[in-house]
Amino acid sequence: MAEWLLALDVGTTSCKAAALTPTGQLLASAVAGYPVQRPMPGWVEQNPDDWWNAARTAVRRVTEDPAVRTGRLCAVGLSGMATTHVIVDSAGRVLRPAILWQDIRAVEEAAELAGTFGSPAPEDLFGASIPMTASVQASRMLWLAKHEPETLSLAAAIIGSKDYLAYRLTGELSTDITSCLGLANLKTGEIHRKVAAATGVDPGLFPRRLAPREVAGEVSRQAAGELGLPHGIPVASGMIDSWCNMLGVGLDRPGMGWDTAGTAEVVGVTSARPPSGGPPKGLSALPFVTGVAVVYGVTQSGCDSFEWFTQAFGEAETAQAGSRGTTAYRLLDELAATSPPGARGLLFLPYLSGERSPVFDPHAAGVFMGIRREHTRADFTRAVLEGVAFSVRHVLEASESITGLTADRILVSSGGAKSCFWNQVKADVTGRVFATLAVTDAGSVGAAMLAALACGHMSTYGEAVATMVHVRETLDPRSADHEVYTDLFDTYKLLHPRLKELFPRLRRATENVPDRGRKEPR
Amino acid sequence: MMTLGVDAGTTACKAVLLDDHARIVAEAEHPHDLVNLHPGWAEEDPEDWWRGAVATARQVLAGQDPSGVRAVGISGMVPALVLLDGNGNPIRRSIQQNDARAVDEIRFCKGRLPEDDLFRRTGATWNQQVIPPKLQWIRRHEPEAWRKTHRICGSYEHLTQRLSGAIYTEANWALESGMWDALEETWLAPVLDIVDLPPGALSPVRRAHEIVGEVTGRAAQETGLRAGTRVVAGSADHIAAALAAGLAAEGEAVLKFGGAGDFLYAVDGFRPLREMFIDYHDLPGLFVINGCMATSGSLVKWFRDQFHAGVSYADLDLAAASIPPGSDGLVLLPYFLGEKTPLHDPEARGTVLGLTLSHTPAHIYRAILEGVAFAFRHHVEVLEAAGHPVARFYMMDGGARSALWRQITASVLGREVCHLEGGHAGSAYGVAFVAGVAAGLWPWERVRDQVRIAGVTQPDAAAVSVYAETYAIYRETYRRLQDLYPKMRREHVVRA
Repeated sequence: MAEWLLALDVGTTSCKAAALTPTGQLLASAVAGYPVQRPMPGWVEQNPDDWWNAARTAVRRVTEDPAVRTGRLCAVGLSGMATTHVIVDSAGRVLRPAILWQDIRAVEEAAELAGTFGSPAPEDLFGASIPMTASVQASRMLWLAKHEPETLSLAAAIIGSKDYLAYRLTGELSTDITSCLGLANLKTGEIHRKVAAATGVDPGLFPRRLAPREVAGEVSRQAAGELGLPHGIPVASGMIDSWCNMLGVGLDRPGMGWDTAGTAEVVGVTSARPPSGGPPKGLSALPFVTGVAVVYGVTQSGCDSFEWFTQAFGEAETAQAGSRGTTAYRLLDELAATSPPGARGLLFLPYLSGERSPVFDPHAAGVFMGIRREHTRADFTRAVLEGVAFSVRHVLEASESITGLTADRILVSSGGAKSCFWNQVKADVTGRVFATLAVTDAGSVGAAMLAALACGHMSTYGEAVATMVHVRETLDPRSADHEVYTDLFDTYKLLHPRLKELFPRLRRATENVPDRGRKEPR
Repeated sequence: MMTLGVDAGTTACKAVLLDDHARIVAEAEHPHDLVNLHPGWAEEDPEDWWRGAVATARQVLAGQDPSGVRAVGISGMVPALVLLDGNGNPIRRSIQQNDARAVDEIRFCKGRLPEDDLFRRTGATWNQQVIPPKLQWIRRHEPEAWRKTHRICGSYEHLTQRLSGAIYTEANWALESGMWDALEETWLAPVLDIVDLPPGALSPVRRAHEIVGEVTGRAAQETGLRAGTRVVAGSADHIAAALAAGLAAEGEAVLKFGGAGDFLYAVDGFRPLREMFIDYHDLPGLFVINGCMATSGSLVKWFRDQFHAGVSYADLDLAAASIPPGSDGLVLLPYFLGEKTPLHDPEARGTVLGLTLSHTPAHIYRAILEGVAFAFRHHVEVLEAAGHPVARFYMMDGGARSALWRQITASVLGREVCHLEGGHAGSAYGVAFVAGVAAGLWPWERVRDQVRIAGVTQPDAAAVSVYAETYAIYRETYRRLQDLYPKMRREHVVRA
C-alpha cells in the first residue's frame, strides 16, 4: 500500500490540504475557502472555526481522490499564516476573531514598543533582529491589553493559525517558535520578562513551544471521525507558512534566491550566516537550518494586488472563467500580454496594505502613476503585475546587498507561480532566471517534509530536500525587456521616498469622515 | 428676423439660426478631421471648415426666407495660424492653437525677447499657443511657404473673408497671438522683428460685434444666404461660449464640465495672469480670464469605457455617492492628457494616490470627480491670489447634470455653486447672439434670457474640511512627481 503524507495549510483566503508521497510527488490537493472580515480600516480578521470547517472539507476531498484513498497515511504536517493570533479560553473556545497578519490596528502600540525597545528590537529580546511592527505578537498583545482587557481576562492560551488546527486535530494546545515571532526569543524559545512586562500579558498564556518537526500530538478519535482519517496519526507541529515554504523550496546552501509568490510575497537570498549587526529595517535575517541563514523581505501585497485588481476590475474575466475552463487570473494574464512591457508608461506601486520590505512603511499606499487617457484595462492589468515584479526586484536587491551574494536563479513558488506570464515578467524585471517547482505550492512540500521527519521517514533536512524537491521549468530573462524595466524601475524606486509623507496625511484627512454612508442628493 | 451663427470647431462645424427673440430656430452639425501628421502636431484644412460652414448654413436655412437673416457671425478656434497668398488663398493647412511642434522656436523667441517683457505688454507667455514660434518654424522648415506668405490670420477671420471679402483680424486673435500690445492697442514691433514679419502681413483689428462686410454674391450662392447680408467680425469660440453661458458681469466665473474643463472669469480690465489666458469679452468693457483643463468629463467617459462598459453615469454616481468625501483616502490627479492651465505642463500625467485593498471602482470614480473639482479649485486659487475674487460660480455642461459632481464641486470650492440649464448650443449660439446685437435685434443684456439657473448647491461643512486637506495633498503630489512624469514614456526604445 502506497504511503502518503498530509500537508495542511491555513492561508489568508483558504485552507489547503495536500497529499504527497515521501518522494515529493503531489497526489492530490484541495482547497476550501473562507471569508476575511475588514470591520474597520486597517483591521483584518477571520473566524478560526471557518479554518477548521474548511480543513474538514479539503481533507475529505483529498482522501476521496483515487490516488490517495488506497494509500496509508503516515503523518500530518502543518503550516499557517504568520503573526496571526487566536485567543482561546480554558475550554478551547475561540474568544474573538483571529487577528490576521495584514491587520495594522496596532500601529500605535508598535510605535510605543519601538520607543521602549527600539526597532528593530535588539537580538537579546527576540533572538534575532526583528522590526517592531503592527503585526508582531508583542504589538498585538499590547493592543489587546489596552482595548480588550476583558478578552484577555478570559483567555487560556494565545496561539498561531496552524496551532489552532493542531489543537482541533489532537486536542492539545501547543505552538512553535516561528509562530511567536516578535514575542519569544527565537534562539531560546523563552519570552523575555521585559517584553512580557511591557505588553502586560501573562506569559502563562503561551503554551509549550515545540520544534517544527516535533510531534504536537496524535489525531484524536473525534477529529479522525470528522476528517475521515485514521486516528493515532502523528501531527508535526509545523511552522509559519513563509518558513514552511522555504523548506519546500529546498533552501539548503548559501546563494540561493527564492520568491514565494503568495498573498504577500517573500523574497530573499540565503547566506552562510546572518549578517552581523542585523539587517536594515524592513528586512529579516534569521538562522534557518544548519549552515544556512535566510535574508529576506516581504512585499505585503503580492498576489493580493492581483487579487484586488481581479475583484475590482476583472468582472468580465471572472464571469467567463468557468465556461472557458480556466481562471479569471489566466484570462487577465492574456489581457495583460496585449500591453507591451512597461504598460505604455503606466506604473503601479503595490503598497495596498502598507509595505514591509524594503521601505518598511505601514502607512504607505498604492499608486498608479503615469496614467494617460489612451491607457486601457489591459495596460492597468499589466501595470499591476509589473508593479509587483518591481517590488520583488526591490526586495531581492536589498536582500542581496546585505549578504554580498547574488542569486542567479530564483525559485518561484506558491499561487503567483502558476502564472507563466507573471514569472516571465519577473524574470525580465529582475534579469534573473526564474525556476518553477514540480509542486507549485512549496509550502505543502515543506509541511510534508516536517511530517516525514516527524514520523521518522527521514532524519535530516538535506535528505528531505534531495528526496522531495524538484525543479520543473526555467525561464530566462530577455535582455531588451530588462532594459525597459530597469528604466522604469529607477522611477519606481523614487515614488515612495517622494510620497511617503503624503500617505499618512491622506489617511488622517479622510478617516472618520462624519457623513460616511450618507447618500448625497441626486 | 433672424441671425445666423457658425462655429468652426476642432472636430465639426455647427450652425445655429436664431429668431428675433434669440431663440434657436434650427441647428446643424457637420464633422471634419483634425490632421495629425506627427505626434504633437495639430493641423486642419481651412477648406474643411468652409465646406462645413456651407453645409450647416444651408441646412439651417432650408425652408427659411434668407432675407430674414439680418446678420451672420462665425466663431472658431483661436489663435489658429492661416497663411494666405496674394489672392487671399491658404498656402498650407492651418496650424492649430494646440500644435506643439515649435519647441526649439519657443526657445529661440525667449532668447530674443524675455518672457517678462512679452507678458507685461501682451499678457501672453512664450508657450506653444502663441504665433511667433510657429512663424519661425515655417521660416526654418518651409521657406517656400514663408516666401509666398502675403498675410496671416486666424480661423474665423479666414472664413469671414471668404464669406464677405473683409480683411481684418479679430481682437482675440491679436491678443492671443502674443504680438498685440494690449495697453497701446497696437502690434508690438519687437515681437514682429523676431520673425521679420512685415507689418503689412497683419490686418486691422476689429472687435467681435463690429460689422466688417456683407455676404458676396458668390458666397451667397454657395451658402444660401442673401447677398448683402451683414457679417460681423466673429468671435473666439470659448468667448462666444462664455457669452452663451451668460457670463456677463465682473466677478462671475463659469465652470464648464464638458469633455475638457473650461474656466471663464469676467473682469473689467486687462489684468493678465501668467498661469491662465486673457481675452477680450465679446461684451464690450469686459475681459475674460480663462483656463482650459485638458480633461474633465472625458475622464468619466474613459473610466466607464475601460472599466464599466454599459453602466449608466447615474448608476456610477449612485455608487460613488455612498462613499464619503475624500474617497476613503484617494487623491487623483486628472492630468491624463497632460495639463494646460494653470500648470502648462504637457508632460504631466494622471496619478491615483492612496490605494488600499478596500478601495473599489466606485472609490476611483469618486476620486475622478473630486480630482476634476480640485483642478477647478486650482484655477480659483490662482485667480484669487492675484486679487480677483469670484463672486458667483456657474457650473454647466455635461458634468453639471450630476448632482453628486455639483455637491463635490461646491464642497471642494467651499462656495455656493449655481448650475445652469440651457446654454449648451455654445459658441455658435454666442456668435449668432453677437450678430443679433450688431444688427440691432436685441441688446447685450438679453444674453441671460436663454440660460436659467436650475439650482443652487451649498457646500457641506464636513466635506469642506476634508477637501481642504486632500486638495493640499493633490497640489503637493504634483509638485513631488512633476519631474518624474517626463520619464513615463509611451514607447520604450528597445536597444538591440
